[in-house]
Amino acid sequence: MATNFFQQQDSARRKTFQLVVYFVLAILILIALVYGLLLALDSAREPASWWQPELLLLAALGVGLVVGGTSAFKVAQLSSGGQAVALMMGGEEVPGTTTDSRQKRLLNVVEEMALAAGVPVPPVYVLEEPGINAFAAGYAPGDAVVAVSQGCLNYLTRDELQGVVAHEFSHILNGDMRLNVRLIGLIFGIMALSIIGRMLMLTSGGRSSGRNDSRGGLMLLGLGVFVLGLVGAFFGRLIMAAVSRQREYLADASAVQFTRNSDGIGGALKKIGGLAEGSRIANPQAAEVGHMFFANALGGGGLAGLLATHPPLVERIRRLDPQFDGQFPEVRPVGLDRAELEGPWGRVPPVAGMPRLPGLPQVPLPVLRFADETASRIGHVDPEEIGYAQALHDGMPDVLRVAAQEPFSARALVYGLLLDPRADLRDLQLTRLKAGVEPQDFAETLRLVAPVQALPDTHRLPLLDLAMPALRQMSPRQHRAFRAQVEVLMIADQRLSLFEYTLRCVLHRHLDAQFLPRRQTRPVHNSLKKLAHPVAMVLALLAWEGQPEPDRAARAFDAGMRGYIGDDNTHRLPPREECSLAEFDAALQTLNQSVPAIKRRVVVACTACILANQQVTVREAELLRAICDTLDCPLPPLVVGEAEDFQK
Amino acid sequence: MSPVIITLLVVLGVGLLLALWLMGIYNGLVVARNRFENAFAQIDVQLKRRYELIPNLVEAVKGYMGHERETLDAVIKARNSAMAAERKVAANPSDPAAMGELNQAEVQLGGTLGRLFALSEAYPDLKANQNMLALQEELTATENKISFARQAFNDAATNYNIRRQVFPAVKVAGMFGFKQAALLETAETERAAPKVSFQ
Repeated sequence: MATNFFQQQDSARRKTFQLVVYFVLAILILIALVYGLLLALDSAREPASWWQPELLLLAALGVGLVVGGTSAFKVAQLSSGGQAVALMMGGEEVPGTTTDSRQKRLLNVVEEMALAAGVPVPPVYVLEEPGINAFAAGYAPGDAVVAVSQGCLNYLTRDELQGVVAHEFSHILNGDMRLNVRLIGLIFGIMALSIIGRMLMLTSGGRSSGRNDSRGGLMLLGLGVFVLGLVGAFFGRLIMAAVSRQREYLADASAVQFTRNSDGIGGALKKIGGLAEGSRIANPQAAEVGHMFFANALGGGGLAGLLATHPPLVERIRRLDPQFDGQFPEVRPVGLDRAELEGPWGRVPPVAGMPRLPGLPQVPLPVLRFADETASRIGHVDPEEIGYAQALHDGMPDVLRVAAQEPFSARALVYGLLLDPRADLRDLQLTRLKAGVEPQDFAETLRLVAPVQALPDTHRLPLLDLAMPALRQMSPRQHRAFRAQVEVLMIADQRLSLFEYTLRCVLHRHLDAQFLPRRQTRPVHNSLKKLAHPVAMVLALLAWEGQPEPDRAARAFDAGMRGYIGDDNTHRLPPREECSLAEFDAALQTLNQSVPAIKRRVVVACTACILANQQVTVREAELLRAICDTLDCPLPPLVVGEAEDFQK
Repeated sequence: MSPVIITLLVVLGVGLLLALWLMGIYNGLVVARNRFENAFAQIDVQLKRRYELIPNLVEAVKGYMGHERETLDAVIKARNSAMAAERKVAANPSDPAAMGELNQAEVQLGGTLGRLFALSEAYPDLKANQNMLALQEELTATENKISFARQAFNDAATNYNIRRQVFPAVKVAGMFGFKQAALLETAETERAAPKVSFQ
């Protein structure tokens, strides 16, 4: 199935591997060609043998240095996080506290989509461009950003905007960004060859020093390298454009699947066709990152069809709407009313399936039933989940939602989430907090304590997700102080609770990615058997968490292990005292370095373990969320409740 | 291969690396500048919020301290000029002159507001007024947010300035017109002063 998150991750990874192979191949061919060029020039002067090691060495060094060096440079530059890319494109971040209703609508749409997908809300940028376009950038869901042009805000309806945002989320969830960044790097490197060639031609043509024949030779060499670079880059673009176009169709299809509404994204595409500015982006930096965009950012012309980063507009629309007659609509700015701002679910009637909170709209969400079901929901969004997320979003008490919008109070929210419900522990934590922070921060925390503590458990992590963009606006110095304070609050009671652990996982993964130097993780484990031990550690804690009685815990553990490795299981549930969060954490870090296929099994195993008692508690759901988050598998919000007829 | 060609190739190779290096510095500067300009947007929203609150505050106290006309007018005037300065900075946060104006206007506004609050101490009815209390509360909250956002802005601007000042970058900055960023000063110290002078 084309929509499975793990298969997508796997295929993106395989494609990346293929690209590396192509890349090495391209460099080898270029070296051979440059060697041939040098040889031809050299033997034109004085006939020599076909084998000249020093010439080969020169060609290899030259090409390797130029292409390898420049590619590495570009990749490093683009992979320094989505924020850097958005800033380079001149994007302006939309503050959570914005008073512009069009920007507010955009934030609402992105927040809902993020909550529905189970990823922290990404920072949202607006590009000062009149055309309709958008892009997502970032290496992993944790450091992704979404950027949208002013044209999108002006001309698109809420549904269309949602379609565009869903399309971008699909890029984020499918791991397309990594692929894109490597492609850009490769082409940039080959392009650099042609620049060198041009420089060679210029320097040899200009001055009259040196012997005549060597100058002519140099000029020819320059011309040769120039042409090689151009031809190489041309073929590179061809590959890139082909890959990119496929991913665009896929993202369009995913957007329809996420929103179950082909009119949204289809309408947005039609408006691009109807708008004079189309989807063009004027910023010169756009040329390099053209295929990160929602639609063609560069002008067409000549070979545009072959080199286009996106499929033709009409073709894309026809796949969404087969009845499309090719007539683009006239485009006018849309007016904003309440439904536009809040969405069709604005205030929905109460339905069972969601925790009750006074004044909270409720929508049903499929209850988790089978372990495989969870795995297939990862990295995937359903319209029901968007509805749930909208309800969750609207149901957040206003005081908390407002507080989550800007960094000063967002920090206080996190402190409030960490306070223990038990009075003695809470007093201890408050004393520590008072000593550690500014008086106004302390006062803000006190102000928010009551509403935070009154929040149902299901809303606690989503609140953190909502606060994430505001928290990212801290400066590195402020983040350091905040991080230290969070640690202090967590260990104040001498024991790291499960919720604290989950919160720390989410905070560290998503804030550290921005503020601390990145540690690259790449899959190193692909053996099911070798990873059985860390999986057992993870399942042990999960089993004990759900079942205090030893037999039932053992049964849950076995169910989980069976889900992971089948009948080859040799592990038994370790005693409760041997299961610590520290070991659990270490095991998860190991598992994070495994290939997607194994991660999928881990998620299946964890769900099987949780479902063994046919009842999912909030604690278990939170723990599952922490596990999935650590494994970079965004898990949509889980409905807590009775699991029916579970057999597997 | 003649030695001339090899030397030329080496020079070109080094030149390319140098160009890449400079490009990296340039891009780094652009990112750092956009980052602090974005950080200003965060303050901007809160400043605007405060400018909106002030007329309400003046309206609320008018009934009680109508004969303090002068102070009230001074507050409104300071608020208007701060608002004008804020608009200028919002249009281009990396303009040091505009930032200086905003700094000054903010000090002025802080001073007149401080005087207003000091005066209001003398009106027990006003101090008990619910509307006044709510406004004061809201103003304090906004100031807290401003001061936190200002810290973040100043950190980002300082980071940009440091990046701009180190050796190779300072040349690139000069060539492409990256100006030194002005910091937003705190108005707290200045605000305390008029209060004291009044008592």
